[in-house]
Amino acid sequence: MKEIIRWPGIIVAIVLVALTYFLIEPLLKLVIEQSGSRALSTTVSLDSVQVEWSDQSLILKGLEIADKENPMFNLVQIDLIALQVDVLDALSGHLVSEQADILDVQFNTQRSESGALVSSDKTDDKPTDSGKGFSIPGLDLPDIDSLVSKDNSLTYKRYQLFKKYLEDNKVSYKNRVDALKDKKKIADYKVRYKEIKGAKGIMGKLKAASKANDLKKDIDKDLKEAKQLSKDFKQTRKEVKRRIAELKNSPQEEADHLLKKVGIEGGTQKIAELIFGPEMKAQIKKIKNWVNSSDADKKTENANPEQIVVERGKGIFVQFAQEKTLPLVWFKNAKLGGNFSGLGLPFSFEGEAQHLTDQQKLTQQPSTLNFNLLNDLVKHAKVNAVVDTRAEQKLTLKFDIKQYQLTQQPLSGNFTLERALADTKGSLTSINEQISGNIDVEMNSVSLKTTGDTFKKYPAIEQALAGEDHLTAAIQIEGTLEAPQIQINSNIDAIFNKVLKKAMDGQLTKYKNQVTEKLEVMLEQELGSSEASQTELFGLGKEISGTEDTLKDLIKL
Amino acid sequence: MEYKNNQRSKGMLTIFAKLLKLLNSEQSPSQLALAICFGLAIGLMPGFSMFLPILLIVVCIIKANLTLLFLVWGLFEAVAYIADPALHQVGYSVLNAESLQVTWTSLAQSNFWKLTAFNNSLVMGAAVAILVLWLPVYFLARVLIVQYREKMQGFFEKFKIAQMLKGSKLFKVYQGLGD
Repeated sequence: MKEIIRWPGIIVAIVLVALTYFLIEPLLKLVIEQSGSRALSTTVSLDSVQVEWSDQSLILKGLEIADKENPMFNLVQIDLIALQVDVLDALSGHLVSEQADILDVQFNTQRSESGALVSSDKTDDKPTDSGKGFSIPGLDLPDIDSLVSKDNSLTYKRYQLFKKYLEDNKVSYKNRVDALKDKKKIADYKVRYKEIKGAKGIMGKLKAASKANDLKKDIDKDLKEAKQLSKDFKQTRKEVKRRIAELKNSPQEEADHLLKKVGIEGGTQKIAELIFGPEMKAQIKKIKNWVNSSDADKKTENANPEQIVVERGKGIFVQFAQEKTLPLVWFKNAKLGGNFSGLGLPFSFEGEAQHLTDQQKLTQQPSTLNFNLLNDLVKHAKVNAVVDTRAEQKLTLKFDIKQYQLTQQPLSGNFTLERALADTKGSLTSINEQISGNIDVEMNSVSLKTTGDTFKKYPAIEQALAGEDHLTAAIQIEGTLEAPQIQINSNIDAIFNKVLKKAMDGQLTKYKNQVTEKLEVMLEQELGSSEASQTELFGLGKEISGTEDTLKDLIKL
Repeated sequence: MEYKNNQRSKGMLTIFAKLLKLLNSEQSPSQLALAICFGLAIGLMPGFSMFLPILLIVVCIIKANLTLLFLVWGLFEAVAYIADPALHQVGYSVLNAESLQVTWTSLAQSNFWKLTAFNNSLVMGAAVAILVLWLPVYFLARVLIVQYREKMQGFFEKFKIAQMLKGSKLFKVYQGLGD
């Protein structure tokens, strides 16, 4: 042992390990900043990274992600992220954590310096060793390995099917040929033929004729099978050629399709070379090589490495299927806290999130967020959001806001909501560009006032409004995000109508009374002035009755 | 200009003298052979692989002659550059060998192995070359050093030229190394 071990060397090794130990933090900071900036195509910066070896946790301080559109502002700023991670994961540029605490999250904060990515010719031209995780500023392109891999390649699947087709046919034809060329069977035919030929006597000849007939039938059957075999084989050969032709076109088609998916169309190879540089070229070649290896003339399965242009000293990375390809960021459980502005008010929030990630296709989980928004004006506001981008861009948002204090909210030109306590419950779902959902609003302790001069002369309206303290609204949203169709069913119109009616009814009653009174006075005066005439009139009664009697008498006559 | 040439030739002589001194030194042939093997490994292994720091740490601990190791390291850096295409081809073939796919795929699941960049054709080629060459180089170097010490050293010293050399620049450099 003494002869082999250099004891002072152990001290040097310890010093080296210690040096790594101390350098791991700046190294991790560099890795996170670089992979983050590359993945998000914007500046990602960190104040410091701290590794807690005792509990395998990582503390990121002062994370700032610049807004691509507005580089003087941060899209998000997080003061502290504490997470339990596998350091090896982190060193390979993947922040994967079972439990994370994300505190002091703020949005749209100002930056001290521009967050625009400085485009470097060196980084653009220089291919990365691994062929993964690169991007060009301004183009949010996905990782090539996640874009093109054996797992998700249509070409590779076609190739596998083709390979299976070849193998199956090979076995099948071999069996059929073997069956036709069966030595035993042929020997048996020969023996039977000899027997027929050597038949003697009438009975023997008759039996031989029957045997000859059987033999002919058997041989005919084999002949038929041979003809069929030849026909089938021609068909198979045709099919193999067709499939090879299809496979040869497949990489270009697939690359076109993939690029189309990331927003780039046409001129695959040229665009790929132009934008992605040698990496995409290599990937397209990789797909092509799978196809070329399937060519019947070629027996080797893998591409000839000579065909691939390899930079000296770099080699090429052969990709193997990953049981679990890790995304850049995956916080399986996270506690969140921070500030943001919504509904025109500053809120602080705290809550939990599950499966926060940049690539849901890899985590195979939707991201869920449960928040409680805190503000002096709100008793509580619970928000649940589910973001699922695995198949399509799907966002489901549910919220329940209790006792949101509203003040001085104009409702229309003539009315103002002086104050109210609003309870709002709703759910919204957005799938790609489509949106649908409903929101129920219930306002209690409502105080409504009139505004402007229109209703000043009607104090009854103010009085009627004072009696209304409950408002409700059911809002339905359908359509696209650009032009949503909103349907509101509210009792507010009914309230206004009621109030106006009430006010008008009061006015009308008063008016009616006045009119009645006036009519009555008028009537009384008129009646007074007509009293004499009445007497005269009534005086005529006797005369009239007399006249009657006269007339009766006349009749008697 | 002349001064520069003198300096360069003196540098070459120093290296050669160091090598001779090592061969003639009291250090065991095993240590020297081990140094050659490690020099070969470090020289061939690309810098982006985690294998390199591991090898360096092992070299610190194992009693291998560091001077010789650095000499061989430099030499095999050049060899690695020349043999790059061959190493790439070997590595590529090994990585694509059907029978080894299960092994490579299982290694690819581990972060440690990912950091070693084992799936790089050059790293794999270098690893194969190191594994194949290690034992033959070790034993060959050991035998040659022993043979040199037993036969060649005495044999050379008998020659007049060796006597002449003792008065030469090289010998002065050689002697100087001991001071």
